[in-house]
Amino acid sequence: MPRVITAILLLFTALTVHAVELVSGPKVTQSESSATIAWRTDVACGTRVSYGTSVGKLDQKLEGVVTDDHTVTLSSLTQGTTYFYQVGSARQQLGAGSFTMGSNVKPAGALPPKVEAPKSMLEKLVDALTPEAPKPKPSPATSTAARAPPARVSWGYWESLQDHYNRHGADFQSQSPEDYAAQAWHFLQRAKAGQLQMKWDDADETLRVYDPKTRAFAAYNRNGTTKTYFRPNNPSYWQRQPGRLIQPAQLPFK
Amino acid sequence: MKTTHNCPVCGFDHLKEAPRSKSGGGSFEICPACGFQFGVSDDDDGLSYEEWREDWVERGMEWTSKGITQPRGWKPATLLKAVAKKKPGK
Repeated sequence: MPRVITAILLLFTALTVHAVELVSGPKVTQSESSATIAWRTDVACGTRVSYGTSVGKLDQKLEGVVTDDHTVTLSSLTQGTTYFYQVGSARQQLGAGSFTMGSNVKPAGALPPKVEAPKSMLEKLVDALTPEAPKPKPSPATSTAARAPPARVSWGYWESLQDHYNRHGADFQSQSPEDYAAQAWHFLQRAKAGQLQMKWDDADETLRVYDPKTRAFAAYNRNGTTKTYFRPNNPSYWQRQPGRLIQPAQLPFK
Repeated sequence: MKTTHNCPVCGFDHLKEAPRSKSGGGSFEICPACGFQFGVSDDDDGLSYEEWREDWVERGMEWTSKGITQPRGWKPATLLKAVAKKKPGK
């Protein structure tokens, strides 16, 4: 008899406990002294943001209503300060990230990845019985990384790529450091084709490239490897860059 | 023998490039210690070395790079003292 009761209790728990999942976000939108963090969950749950100025000190907390469309506004923030945050409910952490006030938002993932909530017995059973769907192959027409050389080849200071991606990848919706490096490489190909403005600086042998339509900017070494790729906020950034305007035929590399 | 350069923000002494070239352009290198990007944090975001340094110190002088390994024996407080003795940057 006790076994039957235990089995019933286990089944009841499996049917009622559901690990909330993140559907979209968290997305950060900044204003002058505040930032709004928004995310969506698959079911309604509590709203909580923990934040602070270092990863190990998320000492500020804000909570909101039970919903599946969560929005929390952090106010009285300081320009130039980097804030780290975690989003979720009181029971479960769903996402994390960081942003610097007055600059571009870093993608979620700057903080250590969240620990997945343990699956219920029912979910494990469903997983075991459900065949894994075949993963779609990347389309050559849409995958930039597929056509560009590996990042180890196209990026100048390889070890720094992760930091450039963390800081600027969101400017181009890059999916990974490899994708970000591939986008920078493609940007250079457009410059070589005469589609973008270029400045060559003899002092440090750096090529600077700018697209006035998208405001994308990149800098490359003498050998054509990438130094950085980002979208400047300041409208006069390109004008203030040193170097002389050049044409593709004047490039030091092919 | 490789030449290294000092970060004018935090004093990290193994930057790959000089933060500024003779023409005044930034190197675009991100200091792996304090995270300042020369030619971007200053020229685009408008932050001074002092502002960034102050913020970094407030946050506990943590190693910021996620791709470059923190050198053994890295002593940020000692390196910072060397920077503080120098003339303030831009």
